[in-house]
Amino acid sequence: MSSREFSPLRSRYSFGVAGLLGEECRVFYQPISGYSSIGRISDLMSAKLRSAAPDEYKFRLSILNAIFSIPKSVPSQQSVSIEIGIDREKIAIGVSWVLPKGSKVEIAKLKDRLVTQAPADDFEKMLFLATKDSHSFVIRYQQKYRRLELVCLLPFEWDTEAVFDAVEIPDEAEATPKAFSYTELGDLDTKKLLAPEGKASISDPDLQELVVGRDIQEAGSRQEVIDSSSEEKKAKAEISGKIQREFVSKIEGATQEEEVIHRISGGFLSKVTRGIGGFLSKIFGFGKKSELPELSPLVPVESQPQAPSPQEVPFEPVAPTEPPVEQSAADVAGVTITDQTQGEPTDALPTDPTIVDLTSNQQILEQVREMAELDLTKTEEIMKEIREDISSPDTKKLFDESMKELLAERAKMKEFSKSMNNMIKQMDLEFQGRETALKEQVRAKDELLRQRQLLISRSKEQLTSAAIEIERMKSLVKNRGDSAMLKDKVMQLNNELNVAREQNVRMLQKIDEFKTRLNVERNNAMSMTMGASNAEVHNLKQRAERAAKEVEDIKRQNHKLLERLDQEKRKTSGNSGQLDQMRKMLENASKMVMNHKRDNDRLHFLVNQSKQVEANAKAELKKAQAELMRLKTGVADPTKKKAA
Amino acid sequence: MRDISSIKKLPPEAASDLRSEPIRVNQAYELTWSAVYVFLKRNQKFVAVKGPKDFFTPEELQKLAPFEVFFTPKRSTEIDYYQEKGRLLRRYLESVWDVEQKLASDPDPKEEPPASFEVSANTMEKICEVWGTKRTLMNWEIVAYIDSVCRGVPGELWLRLREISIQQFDEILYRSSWVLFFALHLGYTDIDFLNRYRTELFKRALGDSAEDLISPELDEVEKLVNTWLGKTPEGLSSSEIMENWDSRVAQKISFRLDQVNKYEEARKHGS
Repeated sequence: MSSREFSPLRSRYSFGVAGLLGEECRVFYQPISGYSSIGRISDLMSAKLRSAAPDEYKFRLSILNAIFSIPKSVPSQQSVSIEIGIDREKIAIGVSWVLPKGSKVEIAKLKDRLVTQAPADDFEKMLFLATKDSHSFVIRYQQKYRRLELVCLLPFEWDTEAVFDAVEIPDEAEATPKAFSYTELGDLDTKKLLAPEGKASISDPDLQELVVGRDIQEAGSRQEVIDSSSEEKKAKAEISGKIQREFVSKIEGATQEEEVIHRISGGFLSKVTRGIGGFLSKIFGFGKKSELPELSPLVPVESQPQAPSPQEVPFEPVAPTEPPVEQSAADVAGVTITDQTQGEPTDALPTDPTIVDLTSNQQILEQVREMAELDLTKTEEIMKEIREDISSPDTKKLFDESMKELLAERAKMKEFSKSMNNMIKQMDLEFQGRETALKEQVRAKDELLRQRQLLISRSKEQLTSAAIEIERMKSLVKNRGDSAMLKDKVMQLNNELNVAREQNVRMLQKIDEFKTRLNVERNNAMSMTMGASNAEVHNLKQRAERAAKEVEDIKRQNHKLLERLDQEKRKTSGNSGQLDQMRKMLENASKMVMNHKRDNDRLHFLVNQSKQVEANAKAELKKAQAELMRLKTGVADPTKKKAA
Repeated sequence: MRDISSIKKLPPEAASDLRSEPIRVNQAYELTWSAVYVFLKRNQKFVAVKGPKDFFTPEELQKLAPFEVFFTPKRSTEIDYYQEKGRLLRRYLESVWDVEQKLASDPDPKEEPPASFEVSANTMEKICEVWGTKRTLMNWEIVAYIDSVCRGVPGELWLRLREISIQQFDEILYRSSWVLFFALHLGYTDIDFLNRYRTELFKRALGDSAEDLISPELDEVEKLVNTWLGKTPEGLSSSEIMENWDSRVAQKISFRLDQVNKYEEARKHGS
């Protein structure tokens, strides 16, 4: 039967070793993707925790088993996360990884198969190999992410009751309880730790508190034993007087360092004086196994002396036939330490505790022997009385009756146990029925949840796609590249307008030129065509006037156009920021350009017409001049005319 | 494509402030950290063809190839510092990776790869330099750093993300870079794994993830980064991160950031 149990776990349904350790725990971690470093990680962790680990061999074996067994099931592209945590009662080695796609783990009966050494498949064989050398293990699996975590637990007290647990973590895992510290392995002083004979001492900042804390706990528990067993204390006080009380006060007022000393010597003395303890417990009936302080694993190996051989313990004359029974810490420490303090005066702690212990116990041993002899005589007397009583017939009768009663009681008990068993079976069945019903309910709810989640995710998807569409539309609207292009177009059209305006101005100039030239020619013609026919001149005049009117019209139109252009320009500069207005402006501008082009064509046409009119006028002028000349020559030489 | 209207043209006199680089040297889908110009001979002007924090597609590079040379501003920026630090870390991690690969093929190797905790310690030392004394890092600085450490994101993913929205593209760049940065803090030093995980993050943003590559711890980091960037969208400071102790991963990062302080103290004392 195990005498100890682990402290209650802080969290079963969360990942990470911190949930399985106390809040004072220190966690060391390292993700690995290759396996070339595992040996060195084990070296490093061993060096770091050697002082605190209960058994270095088991510790290393657990690390290596846990990690080396895993690669077969880890996909090559995944990484494995290692966490090694320590608290006051145990070390936890956690390895977590993600299983390949399509993996299924039957977590419900996994624990039983591993405990009964009957793994169902290769994966379970691997888990079995990984856990076979660990004291306890916890397996956690999350189906949604195919995430598996294996935690091997190594208690400092190997007689602690083993824990085997396999749990399925829900989709939303519990938050991992906080740890006192997390240390990446790279942050450790690796050079120092991996040097030959390198290891962290108890004074290591990561371990000190845990180690000293544990000492305090143990010292405390010793004190509790003393305090709680007042009867035992009284009994002891009868033997050793004030010695016991002094030990208690010593523990109460002791500093941590002193307590370490007590614990070490107590642990040692517990071995040395085991015989005494056994003897005392036989006489006074105390010294249960649970109160027994074993050699603490926390004590450095070099400070743990070997238990002395039976010859070194001088108890043979007192209780030679009794097997040594383990004795409580309070008994041993009370006796031995007070001896050290109350016995022969010594200035310092003895260098060889074995010798000091044995010599200082001589007085007590004498007392004990005397007490034992007294007790033995008393016991002999009582035995004599009992023997006399047994031989009387009344006693026999009493014995028979009590035997009958006992048998009846036994039969009743059997019946009672039978009915209890039946009840238990019935309750089991009921519970199973309830469990299946509940499971069904849970499954139905899960299904409902899943459907709702699907609906939510679908609506979310729709929302995101809508958002994306809106974003795209926004980006299209806001795209400045388009507005830049529009701007460029406006500029280009403005340039075209300017060119058209310049052309108009040039045309007007040309028209003016033609007009002046026409006037000049008209004057000349007027002066020259004195004798020309009045009808022709009148025609010419009319045409010239018409041309002048047309020119005036063209000028007016051009002026209007220029005004409109200026207005449009002003509008363009005022509202350039707004895209719609820009577009309208652009349309207006393009319309204007079209109008201008049309006007321009008309002007061209008019100019051509006026040119033609001019040419005609010129031709007629020439004709008129020729006529004039002919008339002149006819007037000057009438003879020729007659001859002709 | 980003808006480059404000930096569109430079006069020929700006040539003294620009450095030239043959176009053929530039790789597609490589982030640009300043405006990139080409010289138009006919117009006698430098015209910007790409803005900062953008990338060229292979088609764009092919189209611009006749210009032969790209011009970029000469002045060095803080980004250069982070890029250099990132390149140094990449070289280191790649060398470790090479040795690991040799070990896998050679049963009797001449060179033993460093242990994972040694690589992690060296990486942390380099990360401490990145945190520097200011202890606050802007998003684009981390993007520059991680983009120099990691390689191999398929350009097609970037292109698709940018086409959806430039804002979204920026956000996923920030987020992925911070996640990878903290992955380095947590001891993830396998460069191949980091490259693949970065690609996976971009795939997830597009909804293409095949869920082959899952790292529960880094997924937790992603959630944390989202929370942190929600509070301070421009960047993160180590002190703010260290104050957040809510989850296991946050605790781990927080304890690792203690090393930055220790490193700075050691540097001050010259050891």
